[in-house]
Amino acid sequence: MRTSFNWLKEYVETDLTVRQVSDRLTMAGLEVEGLEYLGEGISGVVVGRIVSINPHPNADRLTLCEVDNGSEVLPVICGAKNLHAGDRVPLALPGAELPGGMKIEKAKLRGVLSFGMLCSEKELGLAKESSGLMILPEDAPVGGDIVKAVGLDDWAMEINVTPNRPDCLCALGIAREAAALTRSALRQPKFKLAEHGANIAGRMKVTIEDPELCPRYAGRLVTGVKAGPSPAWMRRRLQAVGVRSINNVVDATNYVMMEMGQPLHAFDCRFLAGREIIVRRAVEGEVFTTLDGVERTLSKDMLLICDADRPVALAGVMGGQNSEVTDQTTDVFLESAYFNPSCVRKTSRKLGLHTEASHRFERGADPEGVITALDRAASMIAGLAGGEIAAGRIDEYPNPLKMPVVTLRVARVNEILGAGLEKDEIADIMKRLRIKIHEETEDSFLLQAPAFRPDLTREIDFVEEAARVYGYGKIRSSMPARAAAAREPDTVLAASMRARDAMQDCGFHEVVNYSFMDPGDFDRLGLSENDFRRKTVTLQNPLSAGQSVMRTTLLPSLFGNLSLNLSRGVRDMKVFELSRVFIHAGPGLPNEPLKIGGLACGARAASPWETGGRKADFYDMKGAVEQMLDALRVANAVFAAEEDAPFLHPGKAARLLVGGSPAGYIGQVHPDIAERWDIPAEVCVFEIDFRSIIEAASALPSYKALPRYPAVERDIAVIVPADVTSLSVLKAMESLKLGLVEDVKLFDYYEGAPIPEGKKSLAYTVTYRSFEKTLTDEEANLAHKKIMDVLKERLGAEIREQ
Amino acid sequence: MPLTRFLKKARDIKAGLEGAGRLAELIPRISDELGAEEAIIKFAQTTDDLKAIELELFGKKGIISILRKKIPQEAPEDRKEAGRLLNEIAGRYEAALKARGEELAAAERAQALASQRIDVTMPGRRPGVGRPHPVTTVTREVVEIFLEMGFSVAEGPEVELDYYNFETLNMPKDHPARDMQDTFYVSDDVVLRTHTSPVQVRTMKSRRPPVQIIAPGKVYRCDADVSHTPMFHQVEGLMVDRGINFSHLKGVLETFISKMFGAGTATRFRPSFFPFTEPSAEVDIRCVICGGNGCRVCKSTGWLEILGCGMVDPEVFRAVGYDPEEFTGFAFGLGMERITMLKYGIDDIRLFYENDMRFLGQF
Repeated sequence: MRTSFNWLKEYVETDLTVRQVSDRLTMAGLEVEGLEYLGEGISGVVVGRIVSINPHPNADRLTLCEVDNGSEVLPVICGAKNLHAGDRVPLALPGAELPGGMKIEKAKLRGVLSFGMLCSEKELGLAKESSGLMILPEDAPVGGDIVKAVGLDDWAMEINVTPNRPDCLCALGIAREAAALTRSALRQPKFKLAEHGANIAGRMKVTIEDPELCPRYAGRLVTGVKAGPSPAWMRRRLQAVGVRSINNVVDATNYVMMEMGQPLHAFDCRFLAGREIIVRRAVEGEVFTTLDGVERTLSKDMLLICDADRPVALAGVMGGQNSEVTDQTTDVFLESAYFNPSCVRKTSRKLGLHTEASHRFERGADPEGVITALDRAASMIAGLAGGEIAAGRIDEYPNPLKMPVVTLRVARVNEILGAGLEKDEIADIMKRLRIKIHEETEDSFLLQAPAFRPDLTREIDFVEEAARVYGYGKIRSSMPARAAAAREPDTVLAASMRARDAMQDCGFHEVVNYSFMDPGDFDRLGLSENDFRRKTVTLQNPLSAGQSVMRTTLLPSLFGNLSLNLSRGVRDMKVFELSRVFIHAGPGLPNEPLKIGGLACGARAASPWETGGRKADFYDMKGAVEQMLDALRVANAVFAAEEDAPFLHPGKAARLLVGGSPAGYIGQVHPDIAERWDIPAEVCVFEIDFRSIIEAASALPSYKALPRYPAVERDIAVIVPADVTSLSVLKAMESLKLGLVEDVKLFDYYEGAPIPEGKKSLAYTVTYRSFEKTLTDEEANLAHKKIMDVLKERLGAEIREQ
Repeated sequence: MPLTRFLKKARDIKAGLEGAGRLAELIPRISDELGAEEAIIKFAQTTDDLKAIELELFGKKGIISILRKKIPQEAPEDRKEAGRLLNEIAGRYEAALKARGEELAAAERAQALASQRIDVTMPGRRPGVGRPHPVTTVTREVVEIFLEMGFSVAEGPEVELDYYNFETLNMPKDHPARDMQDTFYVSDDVVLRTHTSPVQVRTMKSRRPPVQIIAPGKVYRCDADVSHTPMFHQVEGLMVDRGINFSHLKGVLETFISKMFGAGTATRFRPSFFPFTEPSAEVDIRCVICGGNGCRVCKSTGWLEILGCGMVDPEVFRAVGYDPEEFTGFAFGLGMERITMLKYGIDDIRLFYENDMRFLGQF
């Protein structure tokens, strides 16, 4: 909400500065977000009076004026044509500054000296375009500062009015608040209302068909107006509060809205068939063109203002094109009404049509302020546009609205605030806010808020008023006694922190991506039609098609991160993300599994000079994941070939199994998919269901006493068919259930000559240890022999001699 | 060449030893002529040189060995003297060999080590360290502070029922306060949560007071421009019990602010409006950029808004089945991006979600 300081000062008597008033308002809940001095950038410009106009001796297009600056008469050269002797005009003296930083100096123009410049509205920053010099009113004081003379010695105030305070959507409301806060007097606007001629009763008829949606409808008739441009002061004031000037009639209604908060509408009587107003609901599908020229299709919960034949306005939202006030208008019917807030809001939302009027009505206008605003606007129209105000007014108000009467307990105020407000202090605050005290007992009040405060209907609302005006700053701080609620351990939070730390220790940066994705990404990932990842949660109002569904997988975001970095010349990237994804699960809310995913691309190590610039590959990614699983103390995790991930390289894809159940995948991206996403083929990714792995994690490390006897190590190198997996070698060893085997470590892997085609060599160090005694060589050899035998037998392994 | 000359001299001396006379006279003469100690010190430049000298002296066919073999052939009365003289020079030679040997070994080791010199200015072999996302770091910090104050972490869905996101929070369908939060809709009844406040309601519905929780998480608003992203992070807090009041709200949040932004950070509680709290407040801290003098970040006000809070509205208590006459409580909500931006001086919120490695690597 924009208003101006001078405007406020018309209603509230105060010596406080604009900053002091702003501070009081801010600390009472009306946050002043911006202050702007309207005369900013103008200095050294005065009101000049043109004494004479003579031709310039050396230029046909210029004139040489003699201008009185209040103390002397100066020669000033001018290019404009709209000037006459005696006119008062803005005169920028040598040394003056104009908005935009322009400086005026004495200058010779075509050989003649000019002592300054005469200004247009554009040059003073008052208008975007202007056709000639700005001509000031005849009473402008010659020699006076132009900033004051044209009303620019003022501050525009931008106030953040919260939705509960419709009463502060106008200058008078803010002034009323300022007066209450500073204990100053409030001056209501004064105006004269001269009525003429026949009473409106016989000349206009109003029928409210739906008193629930339109509790009150009032109107006045002003005849014989001459619609035209508004005077400068009106244009200036509307401009200061951000309202565009239309004509004197419309401007008067807008002025009163910005002053009193009551939206008004002026109809051109020529277009009101039957000189009649009927307030009724729209018929489902009814079509109506609002004055912005848009044809709108209405529904039956919307309210229309109609004449005898057709709709003429969308109640509380916007008038109709068919009855708009124009320069040809002579007779005006002025509407001032109170519409049901919920109805206006629904209408405005459904039509996507938000106006100054709907903004106020949907928050709750003042049903008691309808008449004053109507009279004020009628008087203003007559004043600006001439014409006569018909005697009397229409005021249909079948069921007057009443503010509830509420009990406020002094003890409750202090219980909520933890303060010690006295009863008298509370009473004082209520009175300052114009809240009526119906009754007062020893420890409570019976209160009724004024009609312009629809937000005050419950005891707690009055508690807030007491606190707000008393000042939050005056309520002392204290710590609550420790609540009895025991702190609950959070395994997910703790595990997610450990997982993050582990991934970071492996050199992965954490990314955070939007939860949205492009539904087209499923095809780009090659997912089958019935893949569970296609079960999306779809947004009704996405920001773009590319963000129209909720992520079911982290992959597209990670690919996106890679593309962005590549496009900026960053080629090495190791990142992970821990986030929920969303899987549609029938009616109701979706499942929100927590996923940890990652992507690695580019150099394997931070110091490529030694690794020969080797690229990160599958095993780097797997190592990081294994390390993370270790950090989470997930013991029963194994990897097997993944055959169901179409976006992964079929030979370089692993499925993570935790306790035998699939929990995620690791793999190199399928070259076709990489091409489709325009990313390098050597990209490795993983994505794991986080809850599956933390469910399998042990809360505590499983401590084992340190061994007391030495271990015996034996190496074994086997040649096995190339398709025998490392896992199956370990499984074969494990099948022996040899208690002595403490650890098996792969230390070499080789394929190629002299190993025959189709075979590979694997070499392991097996550590044997007993917890009871020192193992003898014979015992170790016996166990080792068993291992060699089982590998030969089960896997057709050939034992390489050392 | 002095070493070769010495060796030749030694061989010549050996050759002239047959029948050369009494050892007691011969030994001192040979010793003088040979000059073995001088040779050891001056001529032996390497341990190999030293070995050659040692061989010529103490080897099987070395001078000392030859002389020692001659002792039994001496007249019995001379043997003792010859033995003494021989032991004396042998002892001197041994000592000289040992001393020089140590010298040479030390020099050779030093040389060997010098030849193993590496370029210590080459970059180290880093395992590579990843960085947490700055919003995660700050969220973690905020959560830790509240955990210390006795709060527990609670969670709720991000795709939420309109009922929990709005209606139970005192925002019925046509409430103008819904304008404060541009909402993503999944259906008429399902939204992306616009704040973490529905977690309050879910928590209260599931248990009786006392309740003391915080709920960190992602929230969504249908808004994207220079200062808004459609997804951001909040931390919600709620404390409900008998006798909880606004003074406690101030105490808890001021404690948080002093831990987060430093002791002595000036704060102010400014009345505001949220449909689910009353009285409501916004909390400002003294601008961390300009110290209150006024700058672009604080829009010349000297204050920065960092959180919204208030006493839980009785309507919310009624919706969850708590008696507002028996229980009171406060709630607050913090925007993590805002605090992160202030903490690190980041001026564009969109940087958080671009995930440029050069940005991520800085935190």
